[in-house]
Amino acid sequence: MSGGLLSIQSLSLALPEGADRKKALDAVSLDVRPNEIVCLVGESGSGKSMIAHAILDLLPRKVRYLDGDIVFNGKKLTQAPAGEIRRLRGSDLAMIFQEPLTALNPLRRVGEQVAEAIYTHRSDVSAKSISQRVIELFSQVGLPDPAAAVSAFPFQLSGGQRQRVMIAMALANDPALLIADEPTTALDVTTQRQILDLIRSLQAERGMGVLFITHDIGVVADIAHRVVVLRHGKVVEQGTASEILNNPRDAYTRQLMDAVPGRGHVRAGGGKKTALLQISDLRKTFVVKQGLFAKYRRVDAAAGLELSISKGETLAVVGESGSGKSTLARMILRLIDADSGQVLFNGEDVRGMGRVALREYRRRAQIVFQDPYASLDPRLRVGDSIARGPIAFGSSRREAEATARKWLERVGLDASAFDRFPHEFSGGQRQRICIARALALDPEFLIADEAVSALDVSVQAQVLRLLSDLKAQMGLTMLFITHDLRVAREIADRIVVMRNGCIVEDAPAETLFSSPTEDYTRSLLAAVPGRKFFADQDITATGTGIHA
Amino acid sequence: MEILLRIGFRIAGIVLTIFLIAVINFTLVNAAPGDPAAVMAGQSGAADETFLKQIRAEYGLDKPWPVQLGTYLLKVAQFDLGYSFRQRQEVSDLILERLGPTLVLTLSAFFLSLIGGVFFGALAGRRHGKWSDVAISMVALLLYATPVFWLGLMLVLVFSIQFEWLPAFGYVDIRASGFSAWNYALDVARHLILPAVTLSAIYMAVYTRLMRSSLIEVSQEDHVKTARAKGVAEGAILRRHMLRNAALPVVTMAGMQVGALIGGAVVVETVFSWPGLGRLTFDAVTQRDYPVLLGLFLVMSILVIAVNLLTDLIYRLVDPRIATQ
Amino acid sequence: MKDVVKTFLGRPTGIAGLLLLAISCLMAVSAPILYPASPWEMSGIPFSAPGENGMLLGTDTLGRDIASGVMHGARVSLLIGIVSTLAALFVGVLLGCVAGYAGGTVDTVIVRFTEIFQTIPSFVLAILFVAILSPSLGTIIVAIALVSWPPLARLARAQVMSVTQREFVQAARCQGQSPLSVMFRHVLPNAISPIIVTGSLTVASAILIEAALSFMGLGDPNHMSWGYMIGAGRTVIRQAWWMSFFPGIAILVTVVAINLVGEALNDALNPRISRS
Repeated sequence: MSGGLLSIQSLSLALPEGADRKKALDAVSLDVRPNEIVCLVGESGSGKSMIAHAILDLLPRKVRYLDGDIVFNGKKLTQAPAGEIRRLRGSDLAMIFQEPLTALNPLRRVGEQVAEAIYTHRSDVSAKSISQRVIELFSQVGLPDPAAAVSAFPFQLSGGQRQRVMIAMALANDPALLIADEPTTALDVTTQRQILDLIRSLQAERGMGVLFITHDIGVVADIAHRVVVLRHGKVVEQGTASEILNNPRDAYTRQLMDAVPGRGHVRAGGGKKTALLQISDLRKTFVVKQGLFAKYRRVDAAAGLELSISKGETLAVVGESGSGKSTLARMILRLIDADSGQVLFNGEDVRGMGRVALREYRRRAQIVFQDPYASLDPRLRVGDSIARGPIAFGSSRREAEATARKWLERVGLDASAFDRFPHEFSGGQRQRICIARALALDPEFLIADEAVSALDVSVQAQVLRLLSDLKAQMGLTMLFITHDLRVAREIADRIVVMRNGCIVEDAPAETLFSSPTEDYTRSLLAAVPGRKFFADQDITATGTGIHA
Repeated sequence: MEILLRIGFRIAGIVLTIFLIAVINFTLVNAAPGDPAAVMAGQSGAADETFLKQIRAEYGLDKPWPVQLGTYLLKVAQFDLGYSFRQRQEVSDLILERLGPTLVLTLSAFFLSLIGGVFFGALAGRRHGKWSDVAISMVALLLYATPVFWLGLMLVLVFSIQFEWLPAFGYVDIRASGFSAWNYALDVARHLILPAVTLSAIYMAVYTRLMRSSLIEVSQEDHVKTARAKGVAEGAILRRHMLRNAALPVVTMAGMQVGALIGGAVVVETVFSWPGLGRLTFDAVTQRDYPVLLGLFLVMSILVIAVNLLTDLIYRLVDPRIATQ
Repeated sequence: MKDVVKTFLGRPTGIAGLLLLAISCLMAVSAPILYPASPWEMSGIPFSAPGENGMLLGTDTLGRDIASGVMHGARVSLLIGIVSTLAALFVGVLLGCVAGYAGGTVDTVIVRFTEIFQTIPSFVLAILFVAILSPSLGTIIVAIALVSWPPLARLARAQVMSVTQREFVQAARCQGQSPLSVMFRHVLPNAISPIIVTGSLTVASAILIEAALSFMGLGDPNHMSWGYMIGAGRTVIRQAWWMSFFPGIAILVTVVAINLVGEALNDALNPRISRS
């Protein structure tokens, strides 16, 4: 595998003491050749970002280099003096990052920031030709009105536009190798699709080597020529994309593939049709003011929503950020007050409930939030967090604690978890605790607000399975809020697509996936990473998905 | 339209503040033990009965309190701050006479503390954990805990009494009337050094600490990593991507400290016999000359509001997110 | 809690602060025992330098013992510092919590009011207040509290608002816990640590304000205080440096001690902030 553009040879890095393992990377070897996209895939903590940072010598100070070589264009980077690596950075070796919101200096115009990449490496170019070059780059990365965009400040651009600026910056000196560290993770699906297409086309045009880091097998399926699978700092498997994706040899790779949600058979709805929750003409407008001197901006989070959920049904609400899907969940529970409209729960008017009625209602309707780190009180033992609910509804302390223990076991944790604090648990475990807390009140209705979005795929699959098992056992009705159509497909009977506070489409899951009626739904579906690959796979193989 | 509306809000805020201060003044005078007229005359016993009568009539003190408040507000609105019986002069004239030296002192202390704080804070933040950082942080901690007036006295002890390098008190030399304009300014500057350093010390310490932690925070931000990934040299990263970003909270803080700065000027002017509003305050306190104190409070508050407008402008220069909106 | 104590004691600065603070407190407690006579009494020859005529720290212009004054001054400084801070905390936290929890118009009004109060030159207001209502321990404490509450109110409001929006608080509401239980069990315990830290630093600034007031001649005439001693020695600084020097050192040590303790407390209570 020699003769490559980049060659990493048994690279090992040490983590600081007290970390969960000794080595951030353990004898990692991989190659990137000119004109190919290598996807480095792994879950959080696999060390995939470390590799990217190690190449550019941007590792955090606490991570120490142990052993191995990084060779770029025949030059050993691991022993190169700092000045030499700096000359490579941003010229032959460029990098883009995950968070376009924070990756740009908020106080400087984006054009200046891209220009800086040029004049840092070339002193012979005139200011005028630099600014021409920046405009040219901006049009190459598809920024609207490039001549005007150069004088914009980052806060004036959307997330996708900022990522385009970052790409323009990376390409400014025609690099031989582009390292992309989860460049689309923070973006909405449709934007992600555009950026992926952009990276792929720029790569092909320029014949660049690209090292693309991601956690999403779907993204891998869309763009990779070759794949490297990383776990706990070790390379598990590597090979061409078709080898790895079609015939994964390693068990972990297979597990990752199987955990990708939204494959296999779509759930068939049906059953009882009594409505549990009916929403009509629900409206909410936020007036936001960014900064002291900013103008007021009106945002419609709900513009006359009409929605009904039947008993025993799982309804998924899907939308991109800003669509109003989370506000909907909070309005249903009256954590946020709607401006107008009606919410009926079992025929009772939720918005008109007094204190007593509202309390009883909240027992019957529970919620699991997105962020497993923010949704447990850090100062409370998890058992107490769960027991507080039953106690509030009149259980004795003993009974409530027994309930809490029972629920901890039921969500797959040990009853001994009762006395521990939230920070002692992983994200997936915390989400199980939150589910236990919600279900300990024996509700009829459960809202899951992006409840699996912050989790790694394999954990995500486990939590989804737990939710769907518990739902079946308890006969729950579920409202599942998510930005990920694949997750919706995995769990929902019916799917509602939201955009800008409006419902775009409301259809049984099967219909929505097979014959969507709205353009927006179609564009969302088309944007799902790896869709084509997995669709093809489902035809050839009999789905070994979670439903099997 | 949007701009006009914003300016309108701003003016309304200022008017509201001045109104509140006038109300505080009014309440204090009425809450004071004894006759409000005697308070206004200055609790010296020197005021005679005819003067008290005149005050009662002027301020409507025999009328119900809403009328009294209204009368007082009206007077304030016309910048009629009353008459100092002690000094036999209109309070507004007394204050206007002393305004200049105070402005010179507070503005130089303001900029000195800001520049010094940003400089030393950046230095300490840059050398995070090294001995120079430890040294700067220690000095900042000490200065932050030093009473301003005591610091002033100690500086006088060292620089005026021990080494006789700088004058210990006053605004200009007594012989200054014969000086040329240039020498006059130079002489004022020489007199200004100790008071300005004294007044700025504590704020310099505050800004140093803030700038230090702010710079350390900024250095860990993603956009600094981006600049590194571009291949920009460390010095240029500091200049182009860290200093301005880190200075933002310092400028905000400086704006909020203006009120305290002017309060500090009171004691500093007292120590150095600087002939400004602060020294006037001290004299008014010793002579219990209340009309002067009330007027001073009002004028100094207006001064704070004015400097706040100035810091807003600075802020707009530094942060495009505000300027372009 | 154990972790907090451990982190606190793990900081050399925290221990240094505690030790220095202990010295100040010891001075305050032992003053009436070591110097039973009134610090206002003439006990030596005026203008004695330190060590002269058996006076440890010398005497002032009227022959009063500087050492006695410094010891007794600790009582006033600490008392005023602590009581006025408690008063400011009470007002500030109450207003801040109400604003943060209620939101809407109540919030806007309280915030505007607090902002205006922060614009006012606070020390000048304190001077005016004490001068007009005549200096006493009571008026001084009220005056200092009056100018110290706004930052505490702003902080309390920001804290309550950010904690209330956290998802575990919303979850507690959904669990059917009563608003009071949510406030006292979930919001306050998670919001309080920065308030405690700022409160401890407020004691330091209260001591500095008290010193400045009595330096201006607005101290309680019945109690010896450090600021008064410096003010009294100011005019004779050329002849007798010690009259101003020692009380100033006492202030400096006490305030540094409180700041060190406050910083260590901050590291112990808000581990996330101090990690950088």
